[in-house]
Amino acid sequence: MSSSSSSSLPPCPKKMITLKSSDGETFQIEETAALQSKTLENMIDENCASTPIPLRSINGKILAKVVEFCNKHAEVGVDAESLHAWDAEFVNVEYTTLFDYILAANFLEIPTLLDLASGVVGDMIKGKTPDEIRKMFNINDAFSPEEEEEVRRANQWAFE
Amino acid sequence: MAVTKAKGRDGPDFSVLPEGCIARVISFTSPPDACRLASVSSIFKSACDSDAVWASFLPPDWRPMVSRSASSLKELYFSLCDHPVLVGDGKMSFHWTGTVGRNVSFAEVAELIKIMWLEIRGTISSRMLSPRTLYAAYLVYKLTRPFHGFEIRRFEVGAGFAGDEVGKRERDVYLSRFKSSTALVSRRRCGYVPLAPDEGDESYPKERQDGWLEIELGEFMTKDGQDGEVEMSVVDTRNDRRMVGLLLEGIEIRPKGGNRGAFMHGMCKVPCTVSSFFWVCYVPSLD
Repeated sequence: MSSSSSSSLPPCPKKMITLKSSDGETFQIEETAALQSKTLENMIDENCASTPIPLRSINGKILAKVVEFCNKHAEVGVDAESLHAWDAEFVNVEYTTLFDYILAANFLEIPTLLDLASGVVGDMIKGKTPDEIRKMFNINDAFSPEEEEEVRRANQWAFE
Repeated sequence: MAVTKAKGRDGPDFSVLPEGCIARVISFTSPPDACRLASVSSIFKSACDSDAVWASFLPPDWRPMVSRSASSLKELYFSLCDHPVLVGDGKMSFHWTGTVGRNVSFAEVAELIKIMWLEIRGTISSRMLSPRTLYAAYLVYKLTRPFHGFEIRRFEVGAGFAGDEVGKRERDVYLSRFKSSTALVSRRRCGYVPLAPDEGDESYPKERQDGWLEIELGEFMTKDGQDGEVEMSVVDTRNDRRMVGLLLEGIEIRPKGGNRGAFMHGMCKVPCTVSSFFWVCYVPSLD
């Protein structure tokens, strides 16, 4: 509906940029919200953000959540307590989704999201044994018993 | 070794994460975790050994204090552990030399950033004290933000002559007047709700004019020519919840009731031993 020169425009039109996910979905995000991403900030600075920005490593489902996160964190007048609660709800998801958040935040360089998701995974692996971690996360490229023994010996302190 | 049967994509897969992201995750655990998890796989090992992880376990301003060479921050961390600055194998033990005086300099304090339990013991010979004087011993410390975990911990404190079980009175105290509200998600945002103990409730610390907090450990009376060791202690050995942000100045002894002629214008600092299971702690070096 953005036709010709209509009469009463808001004083300052918001600058929007368009992101395109790996599966072809497009998302609009306000520039102010997008600036939380260093990667996007660099593109904006270099005037590369006038056309849709293709993000080949992030699918539509995750990109939608990332945009939601950036919008929430760009809102003005949200008190710390409620943002905190919102964050906690945001990361109350499966591991696979958390990993996707971490990857997306890493690629887009959004430190708040990266720390939030990494912190949750970190809290989950705290106090676990290597075996438990391997089971939890289907890790198959384990060391040979001799190699593992060597790593263990080098880190004996933690096993006492 | 053909184990790559891809036994079902039924669970999450850590291997999708690059090493840098795994390191980021591990930096949210603890030094023992980072050592233990190194044997999960080779990518975990390089993530667990990375400087990115160990930088997060060192105090934020360790750089100016440390002038030693190490090939990695992990090595540096453990070299700090072997030096009395950070003491290894999960326990630390260090001594304050018996410095005397009112001016507190930061070179003489220990910061225990994350601890699971704590035991502080100090002894002093009564020959160093004035005779026939009623003294009290105090733990002097600060809580550095974002501190938490102290308001629910009852520490057993005591002071008295060694062997004098009758005269030694032990009691329970709290080290904080504030209840902290935190959640695991955000360690930077932390709110504090003041508890409202009665004025003069001796189970809670008092704030001194110099900005430090103090809690009385107990009192004792010296006699004429009495030779003996005065023992002081602060003990909490429960291991169920971590405490964050304790800056220790030491144990201080001073006469009660304004006996001005008493030793050293009224106060001295007691050599102490601190034992603690720590995650991060440091005592700035004196050089």
